[in-house]
Amino acid sequence: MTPDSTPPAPLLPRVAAGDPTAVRECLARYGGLVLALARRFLGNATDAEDVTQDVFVELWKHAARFDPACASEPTFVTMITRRRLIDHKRRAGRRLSPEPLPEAVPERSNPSLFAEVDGRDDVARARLALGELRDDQRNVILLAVDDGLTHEQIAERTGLPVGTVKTHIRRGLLRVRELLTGPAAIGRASA
Amino acid sequence: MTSEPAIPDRLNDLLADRATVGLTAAEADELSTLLTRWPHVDPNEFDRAAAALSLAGDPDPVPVPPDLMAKLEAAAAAHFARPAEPRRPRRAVVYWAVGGWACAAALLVGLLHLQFGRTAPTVAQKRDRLAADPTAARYASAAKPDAAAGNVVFSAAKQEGYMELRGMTPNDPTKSQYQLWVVDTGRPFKEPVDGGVFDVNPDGTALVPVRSPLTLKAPAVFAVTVEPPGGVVVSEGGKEGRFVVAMTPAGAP
Repeated sequence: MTPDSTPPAPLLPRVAAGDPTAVRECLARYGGLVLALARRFLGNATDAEDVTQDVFVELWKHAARFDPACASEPTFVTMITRRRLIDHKRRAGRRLSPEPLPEAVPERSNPSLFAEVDGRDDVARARLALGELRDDQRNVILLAVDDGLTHEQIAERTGLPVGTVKTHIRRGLLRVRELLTGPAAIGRASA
Repeated sequence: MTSEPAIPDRLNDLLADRATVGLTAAEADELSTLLTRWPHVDPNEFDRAAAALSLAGDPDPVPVPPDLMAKLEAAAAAHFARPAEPRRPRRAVVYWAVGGWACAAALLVGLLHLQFGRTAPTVAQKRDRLAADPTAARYASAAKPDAAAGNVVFSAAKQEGYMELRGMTPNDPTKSQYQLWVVDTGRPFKEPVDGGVFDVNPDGTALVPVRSPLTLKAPAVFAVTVEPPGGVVVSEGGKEGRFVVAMTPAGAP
């Protein structure tokens, strides 16, 4: 396997057609990713497994909606995962666990095997956007996106006013959105 | 000269909040209203941006525990279930169609019960008898605190089986019922066999026979889902809480 290898063929179109082999491959390809995201976001292994089951039911249900022109397959899977995680956290009314799982706080440094596998442009652009942000802005948006902290929790942790936290998150998302959708930015991102 | 109106900050705020911390019901309503006023806005762009950021953080996949993978596969089987051959329509339809015969049958069952009820073995007794058969296979759900659990004893030779559940949420049969599905070896993964519809006792338990219209060779998974009253021929899947519990061969990893 090489880092710049061609991304694996999407599975969701075959899943939408009810291909049992694709369903198994999808579980094998994304099961570990979904569980990792859930553990980090929820900080609770049991809840993470429960939500993982919900995520895949949602994925089977919405597989036909996957459009490679809008996002890579891992991004689509992650988007569905995040929606379920946010929904679960809101309904549970939970706050960040004071003792997060050790594996829920992975290093953000080395490119992961998963990143190498599919060579996703949208993720590269997101990294580019993160690189443009100041450290405090980057920290705020990652606390929100990766750890699922509320504005108030981020404010408490960083010492920033809640309004500033909201601004950092919105600006960060806007910049990523620009890079994901704007043709000029795409050229810049791939440069 | 016409141009698209500028997107208000409030709309971006709500989209950003939805993609990161979620919205209250009032905020969701407000977002819907704003989106109808700015139909050119792609409501999913912030969600995609947040997803890309999640992946940009290099989340290393973690191994999926075998019991969780079994549940995921069972839930997938239930979702993609379709009839292996024409089967019964929903029971509600049957009731309407054969109401008169049902009344007569009920009377007959009542009379038979009066005459033979005291000597006919109960489901529990039948299950215990089958459990004593060394050729019968045993299945169990993964041990998990505060979750539904179950076990199955099944004999392929006798085509007889029983499932016992505990820790279930009692159902209102007028609103929903539980349905058993059997993923059988040699049959396509997406074609689990309907194992019957049942209700859960008020104490959260159930002991029911496996009712399969087809011959089961070597079941790999017994899975329970929540379905509309009367069960379904094809599980639609997707609804929250539809999949409940799965039982795999006892002792299997």
